Amino acid sequence: MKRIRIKEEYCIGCRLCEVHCIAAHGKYKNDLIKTFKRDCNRPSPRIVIEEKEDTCFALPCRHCREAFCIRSCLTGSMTRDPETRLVHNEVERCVGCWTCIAACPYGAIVREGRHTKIAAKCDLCGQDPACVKHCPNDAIVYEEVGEDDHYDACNHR
Amino acid sequence: MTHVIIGNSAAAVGAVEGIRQLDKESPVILITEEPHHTYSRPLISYLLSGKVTAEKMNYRPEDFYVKNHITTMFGRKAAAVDINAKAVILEDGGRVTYGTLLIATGSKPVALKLPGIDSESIFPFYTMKDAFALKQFIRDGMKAVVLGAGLTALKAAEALTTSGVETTLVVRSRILRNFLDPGATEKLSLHLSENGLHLAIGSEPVGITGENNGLSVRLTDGRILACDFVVSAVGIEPNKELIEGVQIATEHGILVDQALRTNVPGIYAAGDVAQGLDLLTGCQRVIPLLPVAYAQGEAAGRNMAGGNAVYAGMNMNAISFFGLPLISAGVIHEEPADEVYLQKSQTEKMYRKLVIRQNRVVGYVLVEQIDRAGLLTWLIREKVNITGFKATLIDGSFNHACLPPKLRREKIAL
Repeated sequence: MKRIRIKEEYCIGCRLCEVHCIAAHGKYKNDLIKTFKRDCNRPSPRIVIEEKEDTCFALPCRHCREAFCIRSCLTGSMTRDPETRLVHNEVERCVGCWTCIAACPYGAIVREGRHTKIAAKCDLCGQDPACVKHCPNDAIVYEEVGEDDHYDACNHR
Repeated sequence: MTHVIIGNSAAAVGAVEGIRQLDKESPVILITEEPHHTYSRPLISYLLSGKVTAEKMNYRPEDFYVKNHITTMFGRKAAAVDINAKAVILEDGGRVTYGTLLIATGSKPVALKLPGIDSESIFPFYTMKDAFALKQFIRDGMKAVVLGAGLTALKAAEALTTSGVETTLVVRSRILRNFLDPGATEKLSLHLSENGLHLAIGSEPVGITGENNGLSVRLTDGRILACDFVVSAVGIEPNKELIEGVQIATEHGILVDQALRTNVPGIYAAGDVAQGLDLLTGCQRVIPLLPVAYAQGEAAGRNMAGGNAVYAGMNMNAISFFGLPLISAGVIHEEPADEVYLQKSQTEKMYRKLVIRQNRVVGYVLVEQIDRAGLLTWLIREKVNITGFKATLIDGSFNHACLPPKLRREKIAL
């Protein structure tokens, strides 16, 4: 089971992770120029830079083992993949009620775009996260975690 | 040990998942009055407006019960519980014995007592069946009166308006007063009016007259609203008929402790029928919201399967009307000793209220700018002491980088 680990000490807040996340989830897959020049309804980044003064780090969905978003979802669109254990939003069933946004302790679920009433979140880009690939400092790394690793804040509830 | 669940909505589904997390083997029997698969009740207004089709109403996939090895008894009404024999008696005479029992019978609409309320043109709006009946009936250009000021009434009124029905919402006091403070209500009311929904605030219906050629709803302020039909959604109450005369302790709902246990060993309750622990007050309170119902059901299920789960709920609500999103959680109406911080835009719909009590965030209301609301919900739920970063909460710049390093590392496992 691989997850994104955050290395606060290496992050310089360049926001390339956000840029590549947007491009990876847009209609011009991974093409930065087309995504930012042509797609006026391009997706929201599923990873955000948390920043105050000298502190910054990138934060995507933790795929919590006890996920508040899944429990709170009104339609049942927020589910856990039985194989990968990833938290996944089935967009066909999502109605954009934003209850997951109210529930997520990490603020890691976003409104998809300006005109799309769908909740969007990190899907680890199908096991090859664009944010990690393009981070110049290895401030986010994609690595194996154990079932019992302390990984999210919700795992003992 | 056989686990029996009465109900088929969020709490029941939560219980199925909670039981199966710990116990893959024991028989589970689910008894439900409604003759179909589990569906998402909050979606009935989306069904009415056509935003969601009947197939997408399912709260869980079609194969959910099969995959979880659940014996379903759809369309069978539980009529009584015999706690001595440990059996559920069905209305049709059937009998189901249980080792553990979960009562998840939900709530039912409050019946409005009003002269003329028996008219055929007065619709309830609570079940999928109600939504289908209303959808069949409505035509573009009709006029409707919706009675009620809660989530259901407002979502019904919105769906009718978007379906081309000229709709007036009759509100006794204030819309969504359980979820919004007066400032947010003001923003929402303006937005509803701008989108063509008429509001009759501060009045109550006193009677309904007329039949096929149209109804007249008379209000306390003397107004008479002419319409083709009325939707009554004035409130809900716990559906606890099943346990009348049984030694299960109730107040407004069925009283349960933090483990969702009733006073009778082996019997649990969850969802709208349960009066469980409120995280903020420590008192028992019915919190009829889907996320609470699911979480209570899941915790009850784990405990039925021998686990050791506890749960306390709180207000948390996200809702949109005509594209305007609103989220609120925790304490909406402050007490005199609380600190309140407001941000609002004079021209836009943006509104933000933060309630702080003894250096903890205890509640918030957000209109329009709702992004990352969950950070605030987390502060409430975990009762985080905000000394040191309170200013960032007040000015709205709060994010994880504002947290003290130790707390940040614990939360995010940096």
